[in-house]
Amino acid sequence: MSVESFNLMGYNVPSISLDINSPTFLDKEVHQNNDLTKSAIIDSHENWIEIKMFIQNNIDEDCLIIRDKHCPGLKKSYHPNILRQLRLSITFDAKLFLPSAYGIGQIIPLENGLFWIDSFKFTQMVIVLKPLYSTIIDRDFLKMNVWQGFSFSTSQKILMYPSPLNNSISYKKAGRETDRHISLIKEIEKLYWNKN
Amino acid sequence: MKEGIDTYVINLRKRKDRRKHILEQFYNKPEFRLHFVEAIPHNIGSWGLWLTIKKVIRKAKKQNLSRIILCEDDHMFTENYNKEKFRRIIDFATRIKADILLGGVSWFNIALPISNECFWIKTFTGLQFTVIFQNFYDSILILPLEKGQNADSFISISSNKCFVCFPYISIQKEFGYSDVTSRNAASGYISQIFENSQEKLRQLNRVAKYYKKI
Repeated sequence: MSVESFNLMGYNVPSISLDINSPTFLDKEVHQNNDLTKSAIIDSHENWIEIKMFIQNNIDEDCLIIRDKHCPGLKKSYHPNILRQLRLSITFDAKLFLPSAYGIGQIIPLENGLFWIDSFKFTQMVIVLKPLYSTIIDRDFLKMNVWQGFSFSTSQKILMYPSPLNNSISYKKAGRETDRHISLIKEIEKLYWNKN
Repeated sequence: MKEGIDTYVINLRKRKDRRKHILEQFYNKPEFRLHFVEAIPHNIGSWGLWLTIKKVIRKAKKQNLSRIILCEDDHMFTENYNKEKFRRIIDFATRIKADILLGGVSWFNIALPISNECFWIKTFTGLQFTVIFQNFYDSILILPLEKGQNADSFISISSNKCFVCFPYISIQKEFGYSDVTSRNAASGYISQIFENSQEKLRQLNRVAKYYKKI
């Protein structure tokens, strides 16, 4: 575990980086079956405990960042944008802000590149907002990966898209699926939401 | 619906229980003009159904019908069906140039509420009560469906203009057997999957309303 600060436009947000997305987890077969190997589940359990401790130790902060240790950095051009989007997501009652997400369930477009999502299978980074702290601390580990643990913890998940994170080859295939899903929803939104 | 909408009920001759059930469902509903269509028998049920659907569509095309309802003999109206509401949804679907309007689905992949009474959906199962609009007839007739593939999945992949009524006005009745999909015969299974898919739509409807999107 590595605890550090993540600089968001001058704000030092406490951040923890963990080995969550192991090569096993990112294996194609695992993705397709939405399943995890036994060893990955044990890792997840340990990670969940670390996350709970990290939140308890930073309980007064407004938000906290949890990252996979291989999480790419922010794209330079998105640096100012991510803070603006994070603030905007709070106006949509976000409890969990996602700079990226893969294996998304249902999507409701909000505005300015923000989307409500009902579930996701994994990501590289989440920003946990204060209203969610107690839920995570009280939540026992479920036999699922850490990201799904977050996904199940609240229905108030807001995704920022396009992702402000640098592209990573490991997520290329899953990223294409997210791209297809969101572009279809945007097309439908454009076609039908203003014609009722 | 100034006159009854042509409704084609697909039924195997030997399934008299289902024919009786359908007659009860449409009793006293003059907004539908019922036609029974003898299902084309085939040892692969889904293939027989597909051949029958194409037969119905060819007929609708020949008669220049602006829309028809394709109805399987296990269709059952829910308590949410009423004539005026259905008319409103059909008019809305016509206005937005829908290909397909479904009474209810047992499963879907992606959905987006577009009004209080209607969802856009992508990839679904459940054709038991389906309004098919004229602009989609030709597309159905040329769909390269193969034996073993299901009509509902294939139709839903081929169109981005499929919609479903909300709440559902149609579900499938359980008869304890299925002529198309064997796993649908398990007791309680059908009711449960319809309820699960509708619950997902309820959640999306609540979220969209919360954010004032519909």
